[in-house]
Amino acid sequence: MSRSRGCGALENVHPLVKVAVIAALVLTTALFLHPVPSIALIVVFAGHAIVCWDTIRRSLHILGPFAFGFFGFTVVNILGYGGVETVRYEVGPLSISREALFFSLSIFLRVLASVCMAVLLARTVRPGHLTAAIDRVRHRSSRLALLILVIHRLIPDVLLNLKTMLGVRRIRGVRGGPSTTARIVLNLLAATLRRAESLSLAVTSRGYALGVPRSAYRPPVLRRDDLLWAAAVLVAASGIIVGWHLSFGLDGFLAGTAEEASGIGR
Amino acid sequence: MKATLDGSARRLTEDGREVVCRALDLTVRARTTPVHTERGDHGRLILTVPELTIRRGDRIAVTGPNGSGKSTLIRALLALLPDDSSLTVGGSVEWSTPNLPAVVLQDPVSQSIMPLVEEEIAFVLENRCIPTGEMDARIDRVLAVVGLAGFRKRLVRTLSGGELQRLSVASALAAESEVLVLDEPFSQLDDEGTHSLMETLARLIRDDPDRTLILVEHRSGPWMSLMTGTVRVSPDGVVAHPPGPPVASFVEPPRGSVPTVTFPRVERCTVTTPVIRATHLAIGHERGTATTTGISLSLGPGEFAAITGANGSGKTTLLTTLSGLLPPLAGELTVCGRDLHRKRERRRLHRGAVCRLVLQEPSTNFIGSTLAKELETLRCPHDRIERVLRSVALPDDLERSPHTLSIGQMRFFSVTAAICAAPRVLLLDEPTAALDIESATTVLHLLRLVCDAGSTVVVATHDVRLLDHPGLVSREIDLGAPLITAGRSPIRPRHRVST
Repeated sequence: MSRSRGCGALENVHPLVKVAVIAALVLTTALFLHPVPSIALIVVFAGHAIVCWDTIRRSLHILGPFAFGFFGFTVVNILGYGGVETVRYEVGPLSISREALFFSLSIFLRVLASVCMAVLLARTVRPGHLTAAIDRVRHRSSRLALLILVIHRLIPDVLLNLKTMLGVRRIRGVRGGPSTTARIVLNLLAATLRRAESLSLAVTSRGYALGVPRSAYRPPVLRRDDLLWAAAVLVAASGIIVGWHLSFGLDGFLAGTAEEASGIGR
Repeated sequence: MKATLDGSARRLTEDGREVVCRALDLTVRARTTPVHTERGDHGRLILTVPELTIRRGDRIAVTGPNGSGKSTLIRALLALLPDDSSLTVGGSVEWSTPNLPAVVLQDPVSQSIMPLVEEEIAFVLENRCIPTGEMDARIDRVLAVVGLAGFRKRLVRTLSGGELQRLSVASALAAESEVLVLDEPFSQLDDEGTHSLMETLARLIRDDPDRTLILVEHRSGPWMSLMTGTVRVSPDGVVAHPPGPPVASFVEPPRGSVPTVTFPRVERCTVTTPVIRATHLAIGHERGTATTTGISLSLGPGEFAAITGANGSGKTTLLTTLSGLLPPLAGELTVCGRDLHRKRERRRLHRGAVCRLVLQEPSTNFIGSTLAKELETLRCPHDRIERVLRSVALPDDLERSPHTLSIGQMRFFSVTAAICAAPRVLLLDEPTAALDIESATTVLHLLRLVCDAGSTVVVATHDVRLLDHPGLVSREIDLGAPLITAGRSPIRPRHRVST
């Protein structure tokens, strides 16, 4: 099998194995309250970004604007936390509890880790390979593969359309404001629906039909290396969690917080 | 609708030729609510095909004005219309071919699915269960045929509109189907691309006279010599199949009067003349990756410049740079006295709203929720555009959404509205592509008027109707051929510029 050329060994891993492992890791970060698994995933992503900056840069450029909104959400979370009050930090006129900081940062890190893994997946899996892998599992073309094809093409198109529309607005000297934004969003929605219809039409007109057998241009083959990679990643992830638990205890931070709180109470 | 594809079914016409496609009582209606249906309103009839028979070896030209339903007819025949909440499709279509027809749809930008050029063509082959070992050779062959040899590893998103159209044609040719359906395949091709596609079609027909070809086209041209029959879609969507091959007067019927529109004298740029001045300009999307360099031009008020060049030579990038949306990479560029190297100056140019830019992709030109709101953002007087719309029998209901228009109608509206705004600088990307003769003549007439009123117009085009229009183009900027590369291209002069 001819593997995709690109930076990083991650691109050479079987697409379905990669999806399964990354899904497992994201699920782990979602289930564990403690931020250590999330931080570990972010560190892995950062390492990959350093090696393959060109590949990751475009995704970060696209996601950049959403970071502001998420930062605001986290700040509101910290300030509006309504749990049991424990240790408080005074930051200027603001008073922040340690629990609020902990829970909000945990949520922040979990979402950030999930986004990082999604970017990593999108940048290292070719849609053609993934759909071929799904089709080979089912031996027929499937709705899921069709959905992946359309979404993979649609998301960059939507962002490009938005950029173009904002450019058109700028050239016409139209000032930004709620009504202009609403109009642009409406147009973007209409253009996106039209584009989605065109894409689905293009896929169908090129002979893709649900439930019909297909051949594969670069048929993905499950190799021993892929399974070894998956096992190594999962063992490493488990090692980090277990090691942290044995050294510090998963709830150490909060336990300390509670003790301090009871101390204050006395 | 009943649509069947049966390779084993053979039906013969009276003259003994095999029928490939037969449509009976095919109708497409805009769907209405149950309340409307109870009142006897079954929805607006968009397309009516009483009977259409296409025989093996037929080469049919589908013609008709913008918005008449040519693309809808193609989609209805191929059972690609959604039978959903918006449309009702009635009647029956029977195909008697062993393989699916190979199709090139109208809008090349929204047809690509895969990230890489080779994967895009392979997608068609995968769907037809072509063995993996055969794919590489076929991909190389069709890429060479459409003039994209060397593009195999290129990212599809980096291709220009014309290159995307070539890729769509390559994907269709790779299928090696007995039936080829092409919806306006020449609309964004340069001269070389058009000539090459014509030659390819002629060779396909020579090699296999039984190959069936259905081609949608507005413009008369050399392609007509390949055709054996015509399907004419009238403005009200009725499909007729007159006997005989297409003739120029039928494809492009003589048009009536052009609209009488008066433009106010455009206020000249007060800072400096010329309006647009570029010296040794380098353009591109990213610093260090210039697509074109060494452009020098000087345009005064009332001048009309046409940017020509092969597909992918950087015509759209030059227009976007002149509009101030992209910064120039090197050289000098001033528009209305503003040095566009400086971000602040570009902002001031935009704040002054002296430019109008109409891009190639019609749906992204709209930022108003209705046509009337769109005109407000363009600062275009309603009475002027209404006169234009009436002259080409386009619906002049300005309260409708722009996204309800066909691709040709969208382009016509966005181009004419930008012209009617009579800006100081008008930048148009392929303004006459996908326009029928009547709409194209109106656009050319309006361009002449707006130039006379003092607007500076820069147009990127391949359309000979525009380039050969008497007394319209005063300068031609030829960007030459593109640099074919799989990766980044260095900044280096590689074309001639005639101004």
